[in-house]
Amino acid sequence: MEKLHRVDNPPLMEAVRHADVPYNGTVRVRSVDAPRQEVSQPEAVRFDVRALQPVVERLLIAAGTGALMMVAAGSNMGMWLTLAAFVISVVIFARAESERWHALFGILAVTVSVSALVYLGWRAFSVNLVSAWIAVPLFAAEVFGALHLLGFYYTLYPRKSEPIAQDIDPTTLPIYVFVPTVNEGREVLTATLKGAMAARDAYLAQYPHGRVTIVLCNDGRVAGAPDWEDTERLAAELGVECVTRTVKGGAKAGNLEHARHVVGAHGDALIAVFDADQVATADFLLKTVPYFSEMRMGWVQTGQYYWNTENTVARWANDQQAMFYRLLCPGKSPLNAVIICGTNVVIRANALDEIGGLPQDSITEDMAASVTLHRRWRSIFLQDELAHGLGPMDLKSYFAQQRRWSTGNLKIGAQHFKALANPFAGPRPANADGAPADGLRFDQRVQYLLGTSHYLCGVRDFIYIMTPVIYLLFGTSAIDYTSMGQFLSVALPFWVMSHVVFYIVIRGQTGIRGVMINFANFPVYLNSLFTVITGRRLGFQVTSKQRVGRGNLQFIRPHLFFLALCLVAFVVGVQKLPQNPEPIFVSLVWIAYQTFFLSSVIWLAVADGLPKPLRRRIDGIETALKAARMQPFTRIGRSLAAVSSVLVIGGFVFTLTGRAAMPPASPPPALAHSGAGIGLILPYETLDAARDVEQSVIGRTDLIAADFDTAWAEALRETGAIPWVTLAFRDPGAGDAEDFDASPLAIANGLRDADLRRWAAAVRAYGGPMYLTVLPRIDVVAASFDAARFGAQPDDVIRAWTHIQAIFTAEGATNAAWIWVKGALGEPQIDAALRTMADAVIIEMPSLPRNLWVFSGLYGDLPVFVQVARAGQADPAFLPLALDHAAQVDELDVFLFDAGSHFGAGIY
Amino acid sequence: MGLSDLLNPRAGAFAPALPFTPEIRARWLARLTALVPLIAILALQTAAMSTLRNDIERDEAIYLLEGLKLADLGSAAVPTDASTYFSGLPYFYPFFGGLLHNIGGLEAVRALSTVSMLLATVTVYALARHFFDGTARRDSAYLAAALFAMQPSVIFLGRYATFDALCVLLLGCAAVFAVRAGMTGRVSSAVLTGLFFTLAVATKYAALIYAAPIAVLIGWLTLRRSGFGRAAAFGALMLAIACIFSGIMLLLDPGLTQGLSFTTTAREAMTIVPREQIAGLVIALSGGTILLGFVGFGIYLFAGDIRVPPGDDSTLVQRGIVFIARHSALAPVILTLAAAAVLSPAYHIYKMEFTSLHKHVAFGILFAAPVAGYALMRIGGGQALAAGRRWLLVLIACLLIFAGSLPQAQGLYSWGFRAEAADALRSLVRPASTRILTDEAFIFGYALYDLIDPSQITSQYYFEYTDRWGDTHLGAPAYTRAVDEGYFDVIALGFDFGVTYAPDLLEHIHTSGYYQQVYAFPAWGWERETLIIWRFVGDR
Repeated sequence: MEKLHRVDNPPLMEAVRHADVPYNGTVRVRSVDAPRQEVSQPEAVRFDVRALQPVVERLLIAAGTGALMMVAAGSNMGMWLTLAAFVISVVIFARAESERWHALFGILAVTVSVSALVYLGWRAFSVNLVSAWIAVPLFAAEVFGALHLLGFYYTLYPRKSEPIAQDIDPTTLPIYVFVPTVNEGREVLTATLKGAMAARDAYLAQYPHGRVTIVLCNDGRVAGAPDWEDTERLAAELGVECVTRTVKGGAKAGNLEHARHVVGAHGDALIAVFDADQVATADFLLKTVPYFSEMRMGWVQTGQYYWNTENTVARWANDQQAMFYRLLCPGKSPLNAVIICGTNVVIRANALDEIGGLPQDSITEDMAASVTLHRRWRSIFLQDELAHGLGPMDLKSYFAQQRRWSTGNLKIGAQHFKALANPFAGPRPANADGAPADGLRFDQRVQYLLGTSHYLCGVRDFIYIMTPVIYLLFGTSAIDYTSMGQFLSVALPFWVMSHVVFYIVIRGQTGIRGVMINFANFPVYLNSLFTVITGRRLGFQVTSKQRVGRGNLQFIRPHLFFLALCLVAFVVGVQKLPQNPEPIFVSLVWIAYQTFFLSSVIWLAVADGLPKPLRRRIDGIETALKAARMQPFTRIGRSLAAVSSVLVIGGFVFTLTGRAAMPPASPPPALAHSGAGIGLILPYETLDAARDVEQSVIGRTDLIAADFDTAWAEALRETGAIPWVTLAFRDPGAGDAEDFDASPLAIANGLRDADLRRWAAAVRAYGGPMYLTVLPRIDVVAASFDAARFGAQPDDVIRAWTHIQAIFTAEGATNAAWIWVKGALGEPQIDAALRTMADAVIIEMPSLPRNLWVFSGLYGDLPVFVQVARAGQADPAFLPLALDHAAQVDELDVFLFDAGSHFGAGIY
Repeated sequence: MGLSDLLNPRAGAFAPALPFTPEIRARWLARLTALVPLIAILALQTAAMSTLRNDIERDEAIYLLEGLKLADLGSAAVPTDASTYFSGLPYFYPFFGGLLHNIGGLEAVRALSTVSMLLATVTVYALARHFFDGTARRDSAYLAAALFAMQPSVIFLGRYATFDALCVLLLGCAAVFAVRAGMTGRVSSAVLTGLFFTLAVATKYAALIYAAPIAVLIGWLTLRRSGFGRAAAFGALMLAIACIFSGIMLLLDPGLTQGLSFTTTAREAMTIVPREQIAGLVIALSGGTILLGFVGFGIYLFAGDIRVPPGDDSTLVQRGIVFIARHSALAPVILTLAAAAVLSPAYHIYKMEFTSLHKHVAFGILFAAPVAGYALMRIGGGQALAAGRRWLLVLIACLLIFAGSLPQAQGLYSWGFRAEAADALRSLVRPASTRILTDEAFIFGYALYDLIDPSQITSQYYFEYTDRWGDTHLGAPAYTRAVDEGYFDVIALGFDFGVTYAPDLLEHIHTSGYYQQVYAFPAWGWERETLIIWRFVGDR
């Protein structure tokens, strides 16, 4: 029977309290009536229906997720589902009592995860099976990427840790501090051993009854290191034990196991392990040991942080490490899925004994031990920085380290895949025969799958690079492209959100350098995968703690090759852009993104390879930039945001009030008897020939559905000419189509109001004097009279004119003069009415045989334009004759000669 | 002294003793934070509703045309024959709709529906906040509001300019005040309950069916808290409010009884559909939420905060009796809320009436949503919703409901395109002179309201015609005779109802020689029939 009780060991309690258990930060200590020995106590297997609950839950969640993806794939609901997910996650997480980070993380993670599922659902149905050889791998890579993204947020989801049981007093346990070494040298080892000694001394000061033994595990002799004897001397000088192996085998694991055997670190002992370069802080043991009060606690892992970050490669690698130690490990801790990382860790010897010691057949013995031990032992991760070490000093060392880790993890993943991936394998109670083969819990299996498969990201990145390159160079598309709109509505939210959320989540813990250097590993990871597939052996190689060479070029050859490939593809893509703009544009963006990351690798290699003074200068710039990002850039960013806000708000205000703020429109052009001018209505193709003629009125006909060409009008105004626009309500080329909204009645009844208002606003915005004509020759009574064809009556025409003018007046477009184009032999009622409303009238004088035009003074003071026209080719003799006629007319203001076939009645 | 000084009394030497203490600020901050999820739900609801775009629908036109007339007359108390066939009081929603229309057109009236449905969501939240215990209360309320906001009929009504949305809101208010009255015993809450419910019924007579749940809410809760006397007093009070209001309205317009009977109490089904088909539609629209409501009742009854007396020897019946006895306080109320969801659908199924079912589903969900939200909350892990992994079930359930609802609402809102036909008709009519025959009198009457007098339109409902020989005809003969003589200037028939009056009207249009078909609009209206427009081309 468990119960909370007061702990009698205040220092212990204090230590546990300050040990910073992930997330909730406090540790509840509970007592039990007897130490839990569930490890060795066989239990009767009994079916409990409640055990089905998590299975049912998972099945329901899986089925629901699948259904959602189907919905997303089969409809255009992608964006909506993402939005709804955001809202529901707000309902679930945003609480006054919620821890702020929990709420924010929950909302962001859920939203981005749903957008990922929506994207995958859509992608499943857009795999271009015609090019399956590239389409299927790309889809698989995207599925892999999305699963790891989901896994990332699943891991980081804030959870409460299980309380630490107080089964025993851990300070009574013997502690062995192992420092394995091969050839790191006196300087490095001295710091490490002194750190271990400081930790020992602080611990013993707190717990005088404690027993701490520091053991230097010397593998120098078997490794053929020249200074292995110096290592022994160093141990003697510092007063620590030194165990030197004489028989090689098992690499680091073998070294440790040998030392363990020699000093007798078995049974209830605790074993702290530090790599030769990892210097412990004085409170290391004080903070880690108290957790072993719980008998089930197998190991307590702490982070691995580099102190030599003045080195470029180490700095970038430190950021990559931070992703793991600052983000993932704290997330894995409540899931009891923290792996042994080989250093800066305290392990219970009992646990190692149970599996026969650290596995010696693996180059990542720590991971191999973890996956076996986690079946029954508990692990925990402490976020405190309790040790600092040396990071890889150059790309060669870094890539070698990554190669070892990736090969080891991929091998372990392959060896345990069956047990890890089996959805029906679950934890089973221990039996007399020992641990079950498939005893990991669901969460643990997920974490191991994620951890070991992470190194497949090399394949993913390779496919990501090659897909757009292949498309741009050879036109082979992996995606069954439907439309830019659909692609962007699904892909863009996912892409943007996944990046934005990712950087929000890692903010303050690590940076983009960690992501970039992880990307740089893709050739290494590909190589490791090849090694695992072919079954080649990779020997254990200690990560060098000093620079071993300056030539980085040989290590970035693959990156240079792919960068060149991307650049070529980009250039080709730009050239091909007009052929198929949308998908090529997407590919270009994609390539640009990859190019950025590839370039970053080149930058790392160049920066690392520079002479020391120059490198220091660059480091200084980088530091300054970082500081600037924190301070002045923030202010600049805020200023920019403020300016942007002002601009946006100002834009709205300007748009809303713009009309009132605009200068008043110019008065209409002066029309009254300023002396006859001459205008020409020429076929369009002959306009160039008339370029030298001084043009005072230039006209054009526009469909009302089109926009007013303000630029054209402005250009005319600059030359001193007056624009004249005839607004056509139907396309004259449209034939006899029933444009019901082009009839005078329709116009009078307001069917074209929207277009008219738009034109009126544009005319007013233009502001300069201009002529406007609507419904030309609408008065013509003939069998083909358009107005009659629409069933219009004279009253309808008059109402339409009145209606149009009223709209222009209401919109303030008073800068236009209205020209009524009267047809020959028109309806007198219409003419009589419209000439009272127009500012000028145009009279057409077709050139007909024996036809003499006589003006009768019918129009009084109304300015008159005369348009002389003749069908067919222009007759040079006609123009003088017409001018002669016109000269006799006092009323004439403008004389227009139509030299083309522009003659006839109709609404246009 | 700046605002910061006001907010922080300790900041300046002149800080007055204003009530902006840190505690008060913290309390208000907590309250505002508590509203964030609700605001997010309302934002999603608004966004979903904003996807619904279409021209005016027939029912919208009916009420708005009447509203425009009333608003233009300047008085809401003028009796109108609309009261004989309207399913709500013509002087209430249509009048306000007409006023709004004069301000901002159809979209302004639809905005009223949008606001009404958003506020209805808030009433669901408020209603749910009165039940259950601890944090479950708030979680249930959020999820109830989310479930309600995601219903297809709720999204649909938010963009439907009829009195349904306002009626849902008023019913929601009545329910909230009924619970308040029952839980506090306040007379003012009881008065407000009566007032809101009466207004809901005045808005739409169909709200009468929800008198039962409202009565149970206020009655049972008052009985439990204040005893029989106060419960009876509350009942009498509300009855008096309803009687006074009804009496005044009936005195002003006796035609209301005919309308009430014609449209609601003795309604003949307009669109008869097999019962199983109606049930199927109800399930498709909101079956999940209705089911969740009953599940919520079950959870409340059997897995709520009930403590079972120890001892395995008690029989199931005995334990059941103990359950009910211990939870008789709220169980009937919870059951009533859950069951209210099926009231209206059951009536539709009984009458085999298909018309307006998609709207009426929302009325019942208003009551059932709090219990459904409770069920979802319990499924999602109980009172610590964000803990564990079961909140994923809540998330997935809500997303699936929403993924089904939005397309359904969009489908409900996808009647045939009408603006083009109205424009075509507009191009053919002249003020005061054009005579129009149409079986879409309300839509065209609304569309041409600014141009013609409604009296220029002849509908399929009633027509009396005196021919050139002086003979008067009524009904079908009147239509055919008028067509034969070229009486109408424009004929626009969608063949929805009209052909039942004059089956051979089409033949007469063709043989009269007076009419030329000028336009045909396929996929018109709900039934996607073709609308044809003829114009007069002869000489009179």
